[in-house]
Amino acid sequence: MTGVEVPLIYVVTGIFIFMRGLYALFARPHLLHKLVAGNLAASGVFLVIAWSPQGGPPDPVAQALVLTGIVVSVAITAYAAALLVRLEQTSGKPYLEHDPDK
Amino acid sequence: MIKMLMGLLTIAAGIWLVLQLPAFSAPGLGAQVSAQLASSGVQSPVTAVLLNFRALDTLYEVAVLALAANATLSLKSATALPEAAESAAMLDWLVPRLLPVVLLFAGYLWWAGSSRPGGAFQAGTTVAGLLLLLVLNQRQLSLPLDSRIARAVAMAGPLWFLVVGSATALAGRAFLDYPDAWTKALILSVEAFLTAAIGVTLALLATGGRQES
Amino acid sequence: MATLNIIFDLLLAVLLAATAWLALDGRGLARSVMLVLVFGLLLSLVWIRLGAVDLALAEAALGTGVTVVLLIELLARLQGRPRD
Repeated sequence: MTGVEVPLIYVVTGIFIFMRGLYALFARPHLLHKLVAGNLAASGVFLVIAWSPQGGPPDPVAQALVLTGIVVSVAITAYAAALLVRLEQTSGKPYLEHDPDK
Repeated sequence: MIKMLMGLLTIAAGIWLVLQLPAFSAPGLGAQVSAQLASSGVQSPVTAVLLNFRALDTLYEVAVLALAANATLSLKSATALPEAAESAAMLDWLVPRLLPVVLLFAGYLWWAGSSRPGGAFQAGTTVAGLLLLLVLNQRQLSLPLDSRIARAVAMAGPLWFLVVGSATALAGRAFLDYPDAWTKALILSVEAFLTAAIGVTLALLATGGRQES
Repeated sequence: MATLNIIFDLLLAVLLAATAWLALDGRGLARSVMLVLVFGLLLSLVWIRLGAVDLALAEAALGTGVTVVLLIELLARLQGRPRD
């Protein structure tokens, strides 16, 4: 399987997305927003992992790592979604207590 | 105030990370993978890494998936899915016709994984999509995703992986170090079990597990 | 050809960053979920552009398909419950 060299712009975009996600993870009160933030931050990390520093197409080991990352992300998202529904059922609130914005 | 500080902090960290990029110069493992590819039993480098060279990581990965499914089931948080609309004529017509096509496609992805892009995870997700379509169309076929059979299928993937690994270990080789003549057959068998297991697990996760009647 | 590639890369990267930015600006839950869908599809385009077809398939099916199904269902469950 042949690929193309990973342009640096995707790596920089990945870092940008990770940082945006990290910020939103802490700044957004609603837990669904936090879940989305974590997912997007993970995608940013995947873009960085796929980069090979000497140039050249994405490394097969890196691709396997990203594939594993995608599957684990989905598993975590599903579990977090179930926890969120449970939290909303028991507390009536889809966000955490002691939120500085509330 | 706090938010502004956090914003500035993340911007600074982001710029620092970008500036650090030139420092990353470690060579990748691509050369080693292509050198050993001939002995891996498959032609796709990604599948070779996932199911041969780093098969243990993939075993852990499906274990995480199984764990997430079990944890979600044990929460019992799922309420019944919102009622479907009265008429789902399109689903009634589409689903039975789509079923063989999607199954064929999943089978292709499973088989293709050994030589080109594809493999258990992509095929498994296709199966999951099919199962979700069936769940949405319960009027034709009731599909208890939380039944014992479904759960057994979901666990069979990691279990068969574990059996293969233990068998190679008992035969005096390293854990998951396949004997040369059997490599391809073992990889394909593991992928077949994983395809079914991942399909059921993802469908289970996507419906939130239990469906209360 | 090379210039065209650079333009495509730039466009894709900017779209990806902009979608991520908008998805996380905290204005509405459904908006976030829909933008995640767009983001995932753009990301699979990136993987295809880089020749990583395995990742494009996984991203489209798992990262976008299953994740968005989960999020939409979560949204329906959070909003569908009668408030007391």
